[in-house]
Amino acid sequence: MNREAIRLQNVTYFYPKTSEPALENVTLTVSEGEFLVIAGPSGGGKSTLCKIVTGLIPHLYGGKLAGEAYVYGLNIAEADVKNLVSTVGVVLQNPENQIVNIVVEEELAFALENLLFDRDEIVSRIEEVSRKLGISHILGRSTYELSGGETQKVVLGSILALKPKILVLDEPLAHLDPPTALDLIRFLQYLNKVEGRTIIVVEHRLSELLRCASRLVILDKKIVYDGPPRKAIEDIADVGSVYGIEIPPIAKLGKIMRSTYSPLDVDEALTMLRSSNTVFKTGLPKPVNNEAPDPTCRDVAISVQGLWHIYRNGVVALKDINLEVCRGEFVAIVGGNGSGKTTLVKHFNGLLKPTRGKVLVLGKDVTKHSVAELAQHVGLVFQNPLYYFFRDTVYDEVMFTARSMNVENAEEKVAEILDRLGLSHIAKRSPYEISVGEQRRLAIASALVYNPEILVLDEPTAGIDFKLKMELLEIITSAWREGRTVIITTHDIEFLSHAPVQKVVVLEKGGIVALGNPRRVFYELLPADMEMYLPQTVRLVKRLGVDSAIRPLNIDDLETAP
Amino acid sequence: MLGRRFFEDIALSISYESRNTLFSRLSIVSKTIFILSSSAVALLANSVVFLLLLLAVNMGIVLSARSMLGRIAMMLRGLAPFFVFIFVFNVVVSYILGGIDIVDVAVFQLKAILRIVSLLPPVLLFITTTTPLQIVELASRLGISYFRLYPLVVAYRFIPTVFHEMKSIYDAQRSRGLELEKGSIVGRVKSLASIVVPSIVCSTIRARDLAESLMLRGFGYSKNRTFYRPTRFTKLDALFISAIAAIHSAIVALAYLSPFQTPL
Repeated sequence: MNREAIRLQNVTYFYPKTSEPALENVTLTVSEGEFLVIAGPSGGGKSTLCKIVTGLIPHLYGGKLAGEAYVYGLNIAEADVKNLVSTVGVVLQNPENQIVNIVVEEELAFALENLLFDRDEIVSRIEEVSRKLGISHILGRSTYELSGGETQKVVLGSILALKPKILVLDEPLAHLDPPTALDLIRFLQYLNKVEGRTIIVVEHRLSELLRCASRLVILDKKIVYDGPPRKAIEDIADVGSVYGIEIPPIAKLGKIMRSTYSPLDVDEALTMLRSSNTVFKTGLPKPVNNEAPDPTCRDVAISVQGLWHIYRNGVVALKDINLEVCRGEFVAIVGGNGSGKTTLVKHFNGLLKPTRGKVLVLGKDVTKHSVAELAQHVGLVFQNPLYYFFRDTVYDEVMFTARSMNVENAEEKVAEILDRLGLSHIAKRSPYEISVGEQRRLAIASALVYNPEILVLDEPTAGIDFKLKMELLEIITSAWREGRTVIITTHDIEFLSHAPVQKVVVLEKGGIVALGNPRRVFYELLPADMEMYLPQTVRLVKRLGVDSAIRPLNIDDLETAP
Repeated sequence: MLGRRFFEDIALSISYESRNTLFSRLSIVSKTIFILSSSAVALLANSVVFLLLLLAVNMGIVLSARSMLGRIAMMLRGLAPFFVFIFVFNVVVSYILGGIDIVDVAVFQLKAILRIVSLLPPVLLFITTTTPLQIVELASRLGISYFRLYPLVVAYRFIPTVFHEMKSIYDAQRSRGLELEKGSIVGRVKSLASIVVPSIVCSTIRARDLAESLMLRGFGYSKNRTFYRPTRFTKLDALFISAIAAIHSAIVALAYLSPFQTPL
C-alpha cells in the first residue's frame, strides 16, 4: 500500500461573498505514485480543488472552508503555504500569466532563489530540468518570445526544479496543439512511471490523456465518479454529454461492437479489432481512393492570392498562401500554435494587410477598404471573449454592435439573436457574471446580430468542455445552414471531425501543406509527420489498412455490418 | 493608428535582446557608466558638431550588436513626432513672442534633440541587454530589499504582454464596427472605454494569476534570497570602461581645446 499523499475529508468550500458552494462534501484520498485525472463540467469545482490542495485556498482566497484537507499529513488550512511549496508543485491555467521573469533561465531559478538554494545547486537543477524538458537551447531566450508549448514547459520546469513529490496541473492541454499536447502527456507519464511522482491533472480534453491515468475522478461540485477511467466510460451512459468530458472517441468502438470493453487509445482499438472478426459498413460513397479533385467554386467569397505576411519584428507568418473560399462554404483552417491561422483570418476583415499578394473579400481588395467597411460583410469572433465586453449588460453588448453596424430595427434584431442563442434569460446580467459557455455565445451573438455574409471564428473551442463544444457546433452549423460562409480556425481535430466542414486548409510554418475536402486531406494529403492532426477514427482506419474501402471521419460514421 | 504604431515601435525597440552579444556579457555597472559618461559629454559638448560626433561614436559602439540599428531606428521613428512637435512649437512660440533670434532658438532646439538622440544608444543598450533581475541583484547588494524592487521586474515583464493584449482588444472592437479614428473628440474618448474596460479586466485576471504564481513559488519565503548569477566585474568590463572613458574624454577635449571651434 502506497503512502497517502493527499486526503480531503468532507470538504465544502464557499468563495467569499457567495452563498453557493464551489465544492460540496468532497472526500478524496490520493496515494503516492497515482496518476489522477479530474474531469467534469465547467464550473464543477475542479480548479477550486487544485487551489485547496496547494493551499491557495484558504490562504490567498479566504472564503469558508469546511472539512479537513491534508498533504502528507500536513493540515493545509493550518500550514503555511511556504511549507507546501516544495511538496506540491502546481501549473495553473494560463501559464503565460505565471511567468514572472523575462529570461527563461531566470524563471527556472526563481523559486529556488526564493527558497534560498545555493548557486551550485540552482545551476545543477536548472541543467537537469532543462535537459529533461528539452529546453536547454532556449535558456537565454526572453519569456515573451516563447510559443505556447515552450511557455508551458518553462512554467513546468520552474516547478519541477523544486522536485515536488506531487505535481498538479490545471487544464494544461487547453491551448496546446495535438503534437505539443502529446509531448506533454508523455512527459507526465515519464514523471509518474520513472520518477514516481504523484500526478494530478484537471482536464476536459481526455482523448489522449485518459490512457495514462490510473484513476478518474468526475467532479460536479460533488464527486460523481471515482475509479478506473475505463469503467467510467463503460458504466456511465453518455458521459461526455452529461459531464462535459471529452472521452477518447475511439472508446465508443466497444459499444459499436456490442462489447463491454472500451479501448482508450488507437493501439487498444487495433488489438481489439484484430482479435475479432468485425466487418464494418459505411454509408459513405466508396470506393473513394480515386476521388475527383475538389471542384472550383463559381461564386468566390474570399480569394487569397500569393499572400505573404511579415510582421514588423521580421517574423514571416504567412508564405505564399493561395486559397479560394466559396460562398456558403464551411471551411476549417487547421494547424499548430504559431502556424499562421490567426494571421490569415485577420486579413479577411482587413485587420492585417498583406505584405505581398492580394486578398479579395466579396471582390473587394482588403488594402483598399477600411476594417469598418469589411466588417459589414465579415463577422470575426476572437478566441478570447473577454476582449469584447465593456457594457453593463449582455443586451447592451449586442446592441453596441448593432448600433455600430447601423442595423435597422436594432431592438428587434438584438432580441431575436439573444433568443436564438439562448441568452434571453441573462440579457440583463453583466457579461462578466455569466458562464464561459455563455460568454462564447455572447461573442458570437455580437457577430451575428448584423447578419454578416461571412462568419469567421478563431479557435472557438479553446478551453471549453465537450458539452459546450457541441452546443457551439450547433450554433455555428445553424449559422452556416442559413447560407453564410463559415470559416473556423482550430487545432481541435476531434471537434472538427463532427463539424460539417467542406474544405480543410492545413497550415504549417505559415504555408499551406494540405487543402481539400476533409476526407481527402485526412486520408491522402496530410503529411505523414502530422499524424497527430488526424482524428482517432481516421488513425485507426489507416492503421488497419482499410482506408481504400471506408473513410469515416468520426466514430459515429463507423457501423458494423450485420 | 498613429498611437498604435507608436506603442508598437517603442515596445519593439525596448524588448529584451535574447541573442548572446558582447554587451549581454558586460556587467550592469559598465553599462551604467556608459550612460553616465554619455550624459556628461552631451552636457559638456556645446556645439552641434561635437554632439553629432558623440552620437556617431555611441552609435559605432553599440552597432557591434547587429539588432541595435533596427532598435534605434524604431525608437527614433516612435519619438520623431514628438521631436518635430517640440521643435516646431518652441520655434513658433519664440517667433510669436519675439525678442529672440529664431535661428538661435532653432539651433538650441536642435542641440537639445541631439543630446537626447546621442543618449539613445547607451540607454537602449542598457534596457535591452539587462534584465530587471540584475538590477534587483545589484540593489540588494546595496542593502535594498528585493521585495520592494520586484514590482519593477513584474512591470517590465508584462509590458509586451499588455501591449499585445491591448492590440488584440483594439482589433476585436474594430471587428465589430468601432472606429476610434472617426467622430468627435468626446465620442472618441467615450469609445476608449471599449479598449480600457476589457484591458482592466484582463489585467485584473493576470494580477490574480501572478499573485498565485508568486505564492506558489515561495516568493517572500525569507527576507533574503539567493541569486544564482551574481554580478561579476570581468576583464571585458575593464576594457569597455577604459575605451569609453578614452573616447568620451577625447570628444570633450576636442570640444574645448580644438582650434577648430564652430559657431554651431
